[in-house]
Amino acid sequence: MIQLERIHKTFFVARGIFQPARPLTALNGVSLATGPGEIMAVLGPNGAGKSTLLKIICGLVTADSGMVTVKGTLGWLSGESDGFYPQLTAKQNLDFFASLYRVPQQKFDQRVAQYIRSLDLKDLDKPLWQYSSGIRRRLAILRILALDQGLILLDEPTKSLDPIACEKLHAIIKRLAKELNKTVIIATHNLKEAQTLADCLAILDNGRLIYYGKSADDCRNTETIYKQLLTKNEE
Amino acid sequence: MKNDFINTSAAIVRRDFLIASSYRLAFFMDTIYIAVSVTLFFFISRAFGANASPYLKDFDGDYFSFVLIGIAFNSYLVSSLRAFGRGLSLEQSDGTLETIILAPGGLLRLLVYSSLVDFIFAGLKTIFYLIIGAFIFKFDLSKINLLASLLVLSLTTLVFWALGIISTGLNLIFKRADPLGWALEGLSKLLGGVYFPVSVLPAYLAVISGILPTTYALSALRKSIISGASIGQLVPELTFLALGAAVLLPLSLLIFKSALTKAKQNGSLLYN
Repeated sequence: MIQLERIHKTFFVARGIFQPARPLTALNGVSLATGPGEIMAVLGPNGAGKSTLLKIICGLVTADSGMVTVKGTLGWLSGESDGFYPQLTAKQNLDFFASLYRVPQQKFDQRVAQYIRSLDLKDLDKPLWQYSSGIRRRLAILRILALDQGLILLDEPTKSLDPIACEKLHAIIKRLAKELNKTVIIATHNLKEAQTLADCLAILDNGRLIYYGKSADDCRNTETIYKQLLTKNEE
Repeated sequence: MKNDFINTSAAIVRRDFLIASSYRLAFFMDTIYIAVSVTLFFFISRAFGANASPYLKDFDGDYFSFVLIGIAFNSYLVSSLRAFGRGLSLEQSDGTLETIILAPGGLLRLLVYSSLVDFIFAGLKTIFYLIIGAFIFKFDLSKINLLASLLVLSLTTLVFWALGIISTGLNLIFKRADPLGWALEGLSKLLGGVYFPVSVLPAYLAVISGILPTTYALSALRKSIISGASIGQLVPELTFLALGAAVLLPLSLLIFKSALTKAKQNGSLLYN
Protein backbone atom coordinates (compact mmCIF):
# COMPACT_ATOMS: atom_id res chain seq x y z
CA MET A 1 0.00 0.00 0.00
CA ILE A 2 1.21 3.51 -0.81
CA GLN A 3 -0.42 6.58 0.66
CA LEU A 4 0.58 10.21 0.28
CA GLU A 5 -1.03 12.98 2.32
CA ARG A 6 -0.65 16.67 1.51
CA ILE A 7 2.85 16.39 0.07
CA HIS A 8 4.66 19.68 -0.53
CA LYS A 9 8.01 20.04 -2.20
CA THR A 10 9.82 23.16 -3.34
CA PHE A 11 13.20 23.10 -5.03
CA PHE A 12 15.52 26.06 -5.20
CA VAL A 13 16.86 26.59 -8.68
CA ALA A 14 20.21 28.37 -8.99
CA ARG A 15 20.19 31.39 -11.32
CA GLY A 16 23.83 32.38 -11.18
CA ILE A 17 26.56 33.00 -8.65
CA PHE A 18 25.35 36.42 -7.51
CA GLN A 19 21.59 35.92 -7.77
CA PRO A 20 19.51 34.22 -5.10
CA ALA A 21 18.07 30.82 -6.01
CA ARG A 22 14.50 30.87 -7.36
CA PRO A 23 11.92 28.70 -5.57
CA LEU A 24 10.15 26.19 -7.79
CA THR A 25 7.13 24.39 -6.42
CA ALA A 26 7.37 20.78 -7.57
CA LEU A 27 4.47 19.40 -5.52
CA ASN A 28 1.73 21.36 -3.86
CA GLY A 29 -0.41 19.45 -1.36
CA VAL A 30 -0.68 16.19 -3.29
CA SER A 31 -2.66 13.36 -1.66
CA LEU A 32 -3.00 9.92 -3.28
CA ALA A 33 -3.47 6.32 -2.26
CA THR A 34 -3.19 3.03 -4.05
CA GLY A 35 -3.09 -0.62 -3.08
CA PRO A 36 -2.49 -4.20 -4.24
CA GLY A 37 -3.77 -5.18 -7.66
CA GLU A 38 -4.11 -1.56 -8.74
CA ILE A 39 -2.26 0.43 -11.37
CA MET A 40 -2.18 4.15 -10.79
CA ALA A 41 -0.99 6.42 -13.60
CA VAL A 42 0.44 9.79 -12.64
CA LEU A 43 -0.05 11.87 -15.74
CA GLY A 44 1.30 15.29 -16.55
CA PRO A 45 3.41 17.28 -18.98
CA ASN A 46 7.16 17.71 -18.49
CA GLY A 47 7.91 19.46 -15.21
CA ALA A 48 4.53 18.64 -13.67
CA GLY A 49 6.14 16.87 -10.70
CA LYS A 50 5.59 13.20 -11.66
CA SER A 51 9.17 12.03 -11.19
CA THR A 52 9.54 14.04 -7.99
CA LEU A 53 6.45 12.29 -6.64
CA LEU A 54 7.93 8.86 -7.38
CA LYS A 55 11.29 9.85 -5.91
CA ILE A 56 9.59 11.01 -2.73
CA ILE A 57 7.81 7.66 -2.43
CA CYS A 58 11.08 5.75 -2.65
CA GLY A 59 13.06 8.14 -0.47
CA LEU A 60 15.40 9.61 -3.08
CA VAL A 61 13.94 13.04 -2.38
CA THR A 62 12.51 14.20 0.93
CA ALA A 63 9.22 16.09 1.04
CA ASP A 64 9.12 19.48 2.78
CA SER A 65 5.89 18.50 4.50
CA GLY A 66 3.18 15.87 4.38
CA MET A 67 3.11 12.17 5.12
CA VAL A 68 4.35 9.25 3.02
CA THR A 69 3.22 5.75 4.03
CA VAL A 70 4.74 2.79 2.23
CA LYS A 71 3.82 -0.74 3.27
CA GLY A 72 5.83 -3.33 1.36
CA THR A 73 9.09 -3.53 -0.56
CA LEU A 74 9.68 -1.05 -3.34
CA GLY A 75 10.91 -1.82 -6.82
CA TRP A 76 11.99 0.89 -9.24
CA LEU A 77 12.20 1.09 -13.01
CA SER A 78 12.95 4.22 -14.95
CA GLY A 79 12.99 4.97 -18.66
CA GLU A 80 16.26 6.84 -18.11
CA SER A 81 18.09 3.80 -16.81
CA ASP A 82 17.40 0.15 -16.14
CA GLY A 83 19.53 0.08 -13.02
CA PHE A 84 21.96 -2.53 -14.30
CA TYR A 85 25.73 -2.53 -14.70
CA PRO A 86 26.39 -2.54 -18.46
CA GLN A 87 29.70 -4.42 -18.17
CA LEU A 88 28.14 -7.42 -16.40
CA THR A 89 25.95 -10.09 -17.95
CA ALA A 90 22.23 -10.16 -17.16
CA LYS A 91 22.78 -13.19 -14.93
CA GLN A 92 25.67 -11.54 -13.05
CA ASN A 93 23.55 -8.43 -12.56
CA LEU A 94 20.55 -10.38 -11.29
CA ASP A 95 22.68 -12.47 -8.92
CA PHE A 96 24.32 -9.33 -7.57
CA PHE A 97 20.95 -7.77 -6.73
CA ALA A 98 19.77 -11.02 -5.13
CA SER A 99 22.70 -10.83 -2.70
CA LEU A 100 22.27 -7.11 -2.16
CA TYR A 101 18.58 -7.51 -1.32
CA ARG A 102 19.39 -10.56 0.82
CA VAL A 103 17.18 -12.93 -1.14
CA PRO A 104 18.41 -16.55 -0.85
CA GLN A 105 19.99 -17.52 -4.16
CA GLN A 106 17.96 -20.72 -4.53
CA LYS A 107 14.67 -18.92 -4.03
CA PHE A 108 15.80 -16.15 -6.41
CA ASP A 109 16.79 -18.67 -9.11
CA GLN A 110 13.43 -20.43 -8.76
CA ARG A 111 11.59 -17.16 -9.32
CA VAL A 112 13.81 -16.28 -12.30
CA ALA A 113 13.01 -19.68 -13.80
CA GLN A 114 9.31 -19.13 -13.06
CA TYR A 115 9.04 -15.74 -14.79
CA ILE A 116 11.70 -15.75 -17.49
CA ARG A 117 9.53 -17.34 -20.20
CA SER A 118 6.47 -15.25 -19.51
CA LEU A 119 8.63 -12.14 -19.95
CA ASP A 120 9.80 -13.48 -23.30
CA LEU A 121 13.42 -13.59 -22.15
CA LYS A 122 15.84 -16.38 -22.99
CA ASP A 123 19.53 -15.76 -22.80
CA LEU A 124 20.89 -14.16 -19.62
CA ASP A 125 24.56 -14.63 -20.43
CA LYS A 126 25.23 -11.58 -22.58
CA PRO A 127 26.67 -8.33 -21.21
CA LEU A 128 23.87 -5.85 -20.55
CA TRP A 129 24.96 -3.40 -23.23
CA GLN A 130 24.31 -6.05 -25.90
CA TYR A 131 20.56 -6.20 -25.16
CA SER A 132 17.99 -3.87 -26.72
CA SER A 133 16.21 -1.26 -24.55
CA GLY A 134 13.03 -3.35 -24.61
CA ILE A 135 14.79 -6.47 -23.34
CA ARG A 136 16.62 -4.46 -20.65
CA ARG A 137 13.29 -3.12 -19.37
CA ARG A 138 11.93 -6.67 -19.21
CA LEU A 139 15.06 -7.77 -17.39
CA ALA A 140 14.40 -5.02 -14.85
CA ILE A 141 10.85 -6.36 -14.43
CA LEU A 142 12.33 -9.85 -13.99
CA ARG A 143 14.52 -8.46 -11.22
CA ILE A 144 11.49 -6.91 -9.51
CA LEU A 145 9.63 -10.22 -9.70
CA ALA A 146 12.55 -12.35 -8.57
CA LEU A 147 13.16 -10.01 -5.64
CA ASP A 148 9.44 -10.31 -4.88
CA GLN A 149 8.95 -6.55 -4.60
CA GLY A 150 5.30 -5.71 -4.02
CA LEU A 151 5.24 -1.98 -4.78
CA ILE A 152 6.47 -1.05 -8.21
CA LEU A 153 7.33 2.48 -9.29
CA LEU A 154 7.72 2.99 -13.03
CA ASP A 155 9.04 6.34 -14.19
CA GLU A 156 8.30 6.74 -17.91
CA PRO A 157 9.06 3.03 -18.47
CA THR A 158 8.30 3.07 -22.20
CA LYS A 159 10.57 6.00 -22.97
CA SER A 160 12.63 5.31 -26.13
CA LEU A 161 10.90 1.99 -26.82
CA ASP A 162 9.45 1.10 -30.23
CA PRO A 163 5.67 0.44 -30.45
CA ILE A 164 6.03 -3.35 -30.29
CA ALA A 165 8.32 -3.23 -27.26
CA CYS A 166 5.87 -0.74 -25.69
CA GLU A 167 2.95 -3.06 -26.23
CA LYS A 168 4.86 -5.99 -24.73
CA LEU A 169 5.78 -3.93 -21.68
CA HIS A 170 2.18 -2.72 -21.24
CA ALA A 171 0.93 -6.32 -21.21
CA ILE A 172 3.55 -7.22 -18.59
CA ILE A 173 2.69 -4.23 -16.39
CA LYS A 174 -1.00 -5.21 -16.49
CA ARG A 175 -0.12 -8.75 -15.45
CA LEU A 176 1.98 -7.49 -12.56
CA ALA A 177 -1.09 -5.91 -11.01
CA LYS A 178 -3.87 -8.22 -12.14
CA GLU A 179 -2.25 -11.65 -11.86
CA LEU A 180 0.46 -11.05 -9.28
CA ASN A 181 -1.43 -8.52 -7.17
CA LYS A 182 1.37 -5.93 -7.17
CA THR A 183 0.79 -2.24 -6.51
CA VAL A 184 1.97 -0.27 -9.54
CA ILE A 185 2.44 3.47 -9.96
CA ILE A 186 3.45 4.63 -13.40
CA ALA A 187 4.52 8.18 -14.23
CA THR A 188 3.88 9.12 -17.82
CA HIS A 189 3.05 12.07 -20.06
CA ASN A 190 1.23 9.81 -22.50
CA LEU A 191 -2.54 9.92 -21.97
CA LYS A 192 -3.16 6.87 -24.14
CA GLU A 193 -0.65 4.84 -22.13
CA ALA A 194 -2.28 5.97 -18.88
CA GLN A 195 -5.74 5.07 -20.14
CA THR A 196 -4.60 1.70 -21.47
CA LEU A 197 -2.94 0.69 -18.23
CA ALA A 198 -4.39 2.45 -15.25
CA ASP A 199 -7.24 1.72 -12.91
CA CYS A 200 -6.73 5.05 -11.33
CA LEU A 201 -5.53 8.32 -12.80
CA ALA A 202 -3.89 11.32 -11.18
CA ILE A 203 -3.21 14.37 -13.35
CA LEU A 204 -0.58 16.83 -12.16
CA ASP A 205 -0.10 20.38 -13.34
CA ASN A 206 2.79 22.41 -11.93
CA GLY A 207 2.81 20.26 -8.80
CA ARG A 208 -0.96 20.49 -8.21
CA LEU A 209 -3.27 17.52 -8.45
CA ILE A 210 -5.97 18.69 -10.86
CA TYR A 211 -7.70 15.36 -11.39
CA TYR A 212 -7.76 12.19 -9.33
CA GLY A 213 -10.12 9.31 -9.99
CA LYS A 214 -10.82 6.05 -11.71
CA SER A 215 -9.77 6.49 -15.31
CA ALA A 216 -12.54 4.32 -16.72
CA ASP A 217 -15.13 6.41 -14.84
CA ASP A 218 -14.80 9.46 -16.94
CA CYS A 219 -12.62 8.72 -19.88
CA ARG A 220 -13.68 11.65 -22.00
CA ASN A 221 -13.48 14.09 -19.15
CA THR A 222 -9.84 13.19 -18.41
CA GLU A 223 -9.01 13.45 -22.07
CA THR A 224 -10.43 16.98 -22.21
CA ILE A 225 -8.70 18.02 -18.99
CA TYR A 226 -5.33 16.73 -20.16
CA LYS A 227 -5.59 18.20 -23.65
CA GLN A 228 -6.50 21.60 -22.19
CA LEU A 229 -3.54 21.30 -19.85
CA LEU A 230 -1.11 20.52 -22.67
CA THR A 231 -2.45 23.37 -24.78
CA LYS A 232 -2.12 25.79 -21.85
CA ASN A 233 1.46 24.67 -21.23
CA GLU A 234 2.39 25.09 -24.87
CA GLU A 235 1.03 28.65 -24.89
CA MET B 1 24.10 -9.56 10.84
CA LYS B 2 27.56 -11.08 10.38
CA ASN B 3 26.27 -13.20 7.48
CA ASP B 4 24.64 -10.14 5.90
CA PHE B 5 27.95 -8.31 6.07
CA ILE B 6 29.85 -11.21 4.52
CA ASN B 7 27.27 -11.90 1.79
CA THR B 8 26.74 -8.28 0.83
CA SER B 9 30.40 -7.31 0.86
CA ALA B 10 31.32 -10.49 -1.05
CA ALA B 11 28.67 -9.66 -3.68
CA ILE B 12 29.99 -6.12 -4.07
CA VAL B 13 33.61 -7.23 -4.21
CA ARG B 14 32.69 -9.84 -6.84
CA ARG B 15 30.76 -7.23 -8.86
CA ASP B 16 33.67 -4.79 -8.76
CA PHE B 17 36.18 -7.47 -9.77
CA LEU B 18 33.96 -8.46 -12.69
CA ILE B 19 33.64 -4.83 -13.77
CA ALA B 20 37.39 -4.24 -13.37
CA SER B 21 38.16 -7.38 -15.38
CA SER B 22 36.23 -5.90 -18.30
CA TYR B 23 38.84 -3.14 -18.47
CA ARG B 24 41.95 -5.31 -18.88
CA LEU B 25 43.82 -2.83 -21.04
CA ALA B 26 43.48 -0.13 -18.36
CA PHE B 27 44.87 -2.58 -15.80
CA PHE B 28 47.75 -3.45 -18.10
CA MET B 29 48.49 0.24 -18.70
CA ASP B 30 48.48 0.93 -14.94
CA THR B 31 51.08 -1.79 -14.55
CA ILE B 32 53.24 -0.28 -17.28
CA TYR B 33 52.85 3.16 -15.69
CA ILE B 34 54.11 1.80 -12.37
CA ALA B 35 57.13 0.16 -14.00
CA VAL B 36 57.95 3.37 -15.92
CA SER B 37 57.63 5.53 -12.78
CA VAL B 38 59.94 3.31 -10.75
CA THR B 39 62.50 3.26 -13.58
CA LEU B 40 62.28 7.04 -13.96
CA PHE B 41 62.97 7.65 -10.29
CA PHE B 42 65.76 5.09 -10.26
CA PHE B 43 67.64 7.10 -12.88
CA ILE B 44 66.81 10.43 -11.23
CA SER B 45 68.20 8.96 -8.04
CA ARG B 46 71.39 7.84 -9.79
CA ALA B 47 71.91 11.25 -11.33
CA PHE B 48 71.01 13.52 -8.40
CA GLY B 49 70.57 11.24 -5.38
CA ALA B 50 73.93 12.10 -3.82
CA ASN B 51 72.82 15.74 -3.38
CA ALA B 52 69.77 14.60 -1.41
CA SER B 53 71.67 12.32 0.97
CA PRO B 54 72.35 14.93 3.71
CA TYR B 55 68.59 15.41 4.09
CA LEU B 56 67.85 11.68 4.25
CA LYS B 57 69.78 10.65 7.38
CA ASP B 58 66.59 9.41 9.07
CA PHE B 59 65.97 7.08 6.13
CA ASP B 60 69.45 5.56 5.66
CA GLY B 61 70.44 8.25 3.16
CA ASP B 62 69.29 6.57 -0.07
CA TYR B 63 67.10 8.72 -2.33
CA PHE B 64 65.77 5.83 -4.45
CA SER B 65 64.45 3.99 -1.36
CA PHE B 66 63.02 7.26 -0.08
CA VAL B 67 61.17 8.17 -3.26
CA LEU B 68 60.04 4.60 -4.04
CA ILE B 69 58.15 4.45 -0.76
CA GLY B 70 56.86 7.96 -1.38
CA ILE B 71 55.32 7.20 -4.78
CA ALA B 72 54.17 3.66 -3.90
CA PHE B 73 52.31 4.66 -0.76
CA ASN B 74 51.10 8.01 -2.06
CA SER B 75 49.34 6.08 -4.81
CA TYR B 76 47.75 3.91 -2.10
CA LEU B 77 46.70 6.95 -0.06
CA VAL B 78 45.17 8.70 -3.06
CA SER B 79 43.23 5.53 -3.93
CA SER B 80 42.03 5.30 -0.31
CA LEU B 81 40.91 8.89 -0.51
CA ARG B 82 39.05 8.31 -3.78
CA ALA B 83 37.65 4.84 -3.01
CA PHE B 84 34.47 5.96 -1.34
CA GLY B 85 33.58 8.63 -3.89
CA ARG B 86 34.31 6.32 -6.80
CA GLY B 87 31.63 3.94 -5.53
CA LEU B 88 29.05 6.71 -5.53
CA SER B 89 30.02 8.04 -8.98
CA LEU B 90 29.85 4.51 -10.41
CA GLU B 91 26.27 4.11 -9.18
CA GLN B 92 25.35 7.60 -10.43
CA SER B 93 26.86 7.14 -13.89
CA ASP B 94 25.50 3.60 -14.37
CA GLY B 95 22.04 4.70 -13.18
CA THR B 96 21.97 2.03 -10.48
CA LEU B 97 21.77 4.37 -7.50
CA GLU B 98 17.96 4.12 -7.20
CA THR B 99 18.11 0.33 -7.03
CA ILE B 100 21.04 0.44 -4.62
CA ILE B 101 19.35 2.92 -2.29
CA LEU B 102 16.18 0.82 -2.08
CA ALA B 103 18.24 -2.20 -0.93
CA PRO B 104 18.43 -3.00 2.77
CA GLY B 105 21.45 -1.64 4.61
CA GLY B 106 21.49 1.97 3.48
CA LEU B 107 23.71 3.83 1.06
CA LEU B 108 26.56 4.51 3.47
CA ARG B 109 27.09 0.85 4.32
CA LEU B 110 26.93 -0.20 0.68
CA LEU B 111 29.48 2.45 -0.29
CA VAL B 112 31.77 1.27 2.48
CA TYR B 113 31.64 -2.27 1.06
CA SER B 114 32.07 -0.85 -2.40
CA SER B 115 35.37 0.78 -1.42
CA LEU B 116 36.87 -2.59 -0.45
CA VAL B 117 37.92 -3.49 -3.98
CA ASP B 118 39.70 -0.16 -4.39
CA PHE B 119 41.70 -0.90 -1.27
CA ILE B 120 42.58 -4.33 -2.61
CA PHE B 121 43.68 -2.92 -5.98
CA ALA B 122 45.54 -0.02 -4.33
CA GLY B 123 47.34 -2.50 -2.03
CA LEU B 124 48.29 -4.69 -5.00
CA LYS B 125 49.64 -1.69 -6.89
CA THR B 126 51.75 -0.66 -3.90
CA ILE B 127 53.15 -4.18 -3.62
CA PHE B 128 53.92 -4.08 -7.35
CA TYR B 129 55.88 -0.82 -6.90
CA LEU B 130 57.93 -2.45 -4.15
CA ILE B 131 58.46 -5.68 -6.10
CA ILE B 132 59.80 -3.83 -9.14
CA GLY B 133 62.00 -1.73 -6.86
CA ALA B 134 63.33 -4.78 -5.06
CA PHE B 135 63.80 -7.21 -7.93
CA ILE B 136 64.97 -4.90 -10.68
CA PHE B 137 66.58 -1.99 -8.86
CA LYS B 138 67.84 -3.74 -5.70
CA PHE B 139 65.65 -1.83 -3.25
CA ASP B 140 66.60 -3.29 0.13
CA LEU B 141 63.67 -4.79 2.03
CA SER B 142 65.79 -6.88 4.39
CA LYS B 143 65.37 -4.59 7.42
CA ILE B 144 61.59 -4.18 7.15
CA ASN B 145 59.62 -4.32 10.39
CA LEU B 146 56.45 -5.83 8.97
CA LEU B 147 54.31 -5.46 12.08
CA ALA B 148 55.13 -1.77 12.49
CA SER B 149 54.59 -1.14 8.77
CA LEU B 150 51.19 -2.86 8.82
CA LEU B 151 50.14 -0.92 11.91
CA VAL B 152 51.11 2.38 10.25
CA LEU B 153 49.32 1.38 7.08
CA SER B 154 46.14 0.35 8.94
CA LEU B 155 45.93 3.64 10.83
CA THR B 156 46.72 5.60 7.69
CA THR B 157 44.02 3.73 5.78
CA LEU B 158 41.46 4.66 8.45
CA VAL B 159 42.48 8.33 8.32
CA PHE B 160 42.31 8.49 4.52
CA TRP B 161 39.12 6.47 4.40
CA ALA B 162 37.50 9.00 6.76
CA LEU B 163 38.83 11.88 4.65
CA GLY B 164 37.43 10.12 1.58
CA ILE B 165 34.00 9.89 3.21
CA ILE B 166 34.12 13.61 4.06
CA SER B 167 35.25 14.40 0.53
CA THR B 168 32.35 12.34 -0.91
CA GLY B 169 29.93 14.13 1.41
CA LEU B 170 31.18 17.49 0.14
CA ASN B 171 30.95 16.15 -3.40
CA LEU B 172 27.26 15.34 -2.84
CA ILE B 173 26.70 19.03 -2.09
CA PHE B 174 29.17 20.73 -4.42
CA LYS B 175 28.92 18.08 -7.18
CA ARG B 176 31.97 17.97 -9.44
CA ALA B 177 33.99 20.27 -7.24
CA ASP B 178 35.79 18.23 -4.59
CA PRO B 179 37.67 20.84 -2.54
CA LEU B 180 38.95 18.49 0.15
CA GLY B 181 40.15 15.74 -2.19
CA TRP B 182 41.80 18.29 -4.45
CA ALA B 183 43.55 20.07 -1.56
CA LEU B 184 44.69 16.88 0.12
CA GLU B 185 46.02 15.28 -3.02
CA GLY B 186 47.81 18.41 -4.16
CA LEU B 187 49.19 19.40 -0.77
CA SER B 188 50.30 15.86 -0.01
CA LYS B 189 52.36 15.71 -3.20
CA LEU B 190 53.86 19.12 -2.57
CA LEU B 191 54.30 19.15 1.20
CA GLY B 192 53.74 15.59 2.44
CA GLY B 193 57.24 14.30 1.68
CA VAL B 194 56.36 12.18 -1.35
CA TYR B 195 59.25 13.24 -3.59
CA PHE B 196 61.56 15.11 -1.23
CA PRO B 197 62.06 15.21 2.55
CA VAL B 198 59.95 17.80 4.36
CA SER B 199 63.09 19.02 6.14
CA VAL B 200 63.94 21.09 3.04
CA LEU B 201 60.74 23.12 3.36
CA PRO B 202 60.84 26.69 4.70
CA ALA B 203 59.28 27.15 8.15
CA TYR B 204 55.96 28.55 6.90
CA LEU B 205 55.39 25.57 4.59
CA ALA B 206 56.62 23.13 7.24
CA VAL B 207 53.66 24.22 9.36
CA ILE B 208 51.23 22.98 6.70
CA SER B 209 53.30 19.86 6.19
CA GLY B 210 53.04 19.23 9.95
CA ILE B 211 49.26 18.86 9.80
CA LEU B 212 49.10 16.59 6.76
CA PRO B 213 48.52 12.91 7.56
CA THR B 214 50.63 11.98 4.52
CA THR B 215 53.72 13.47 6.20
CA TYR B 216 53.35 11.23 9.26
CA ALA B 217 52.31 8.17 7.28
CA LEU B 218 55.24 8.33 4.86
CA SER B 219 57.75 9.17 7.57
CA ALA B 220 56.66 6.16 9.66
CA LEU B 221 56.49 3.84 6.66
CA ARG B 222 60.00 4.81 5.55
CA LYS B 223 61.41 4.32 9.02
CA SER B 224 59.76 0.91 9.45
CA ILE B 225 60.50 -0.35 5.92
CA ILE B 226 63.97 1.09 5.26
CA SER B 227 65.45 1.25 8.76
CA GLY B 228 63.31 -1.42 10.46
CA ALA B 229 62.10 0.98 13.16
CA SER B 230 60.05 -0.63 15.93
CA ILE B 231 56.56 0.43 17.02
CA GLY B 232 58.14 2.18 20.02
CA GLN B 233 60.30 4.30 17.73
CA LEU B 234 57.24 5.39 15.76
CA VAL B 235 55.15 6.65 18.68
CA PRO B 236 54.90 10.31 17.49
CA GLU B 237 53.67 9.33 14.01
CA LEU B 238 51.39 6.56 15.32
CA THR B 239 49.86 8.90 17.90
CA PHE B 240 49.09 11.52 15.26
CA LEU B 241 47.52 8.93 12.96
CA ALA B 242 45.54 7.24 15.76
CA LEU B 243 44.19 10.57 16.99
CA GLY B 244 43.39 11.55 13.41
CA ALA B 245 41.43 8.32 12.87
CA ALA B 246 39.60 8.68 16.21
CA VAL B 247 38.47 12.22 15.40
CA LEU B 248 37.90 11.93 11.67
CA LEU B 249 35.93 8.66 11.49
CA PRO B 250 32.90 9.77 13.55
CA LEU B 251 33.14 13.25 12.02
CA SER B 252 33.15 11.80 8.51
CA LEU B 253 30.00 9.75 9.15
CA LEU B 254 28.29 12.82 10.56
CA ILE B 255 29.25 14.95 7.57
CA PHE B 256 28.24 12.28 5.07
CA LYS B 257 24.84 11.75 6.68
CA SER B 258 24.17 15.51 6.75
CA ALA B 259 25.24 15.79 3.11
CA LEU B 260 22.99 12.89 2.15
CA THR B 261 20.04 14.54 3.91
CA LYS B 262 20.83 17.81 2.14
CA ALA B 263 21.13 16.08 -1.26
CA LYS B 264 17.75 14.41 -0.73
CA GLN B 265 16.25 17.76 0.22
CA ASN B 266 17.54 19.55 -2.84
CA GLY B 267 16.81 16.55 -5.09
CA SER B 268 20.34 16.24 -6.44
CA LEU B 269 21.30 12.84 -5.07
CA LEU B 270 21.11 11.03 -8.40
CA TYR B 271 23.28 13.46 -10.31
CA ASN B 272 26.99 14.03 -10.28
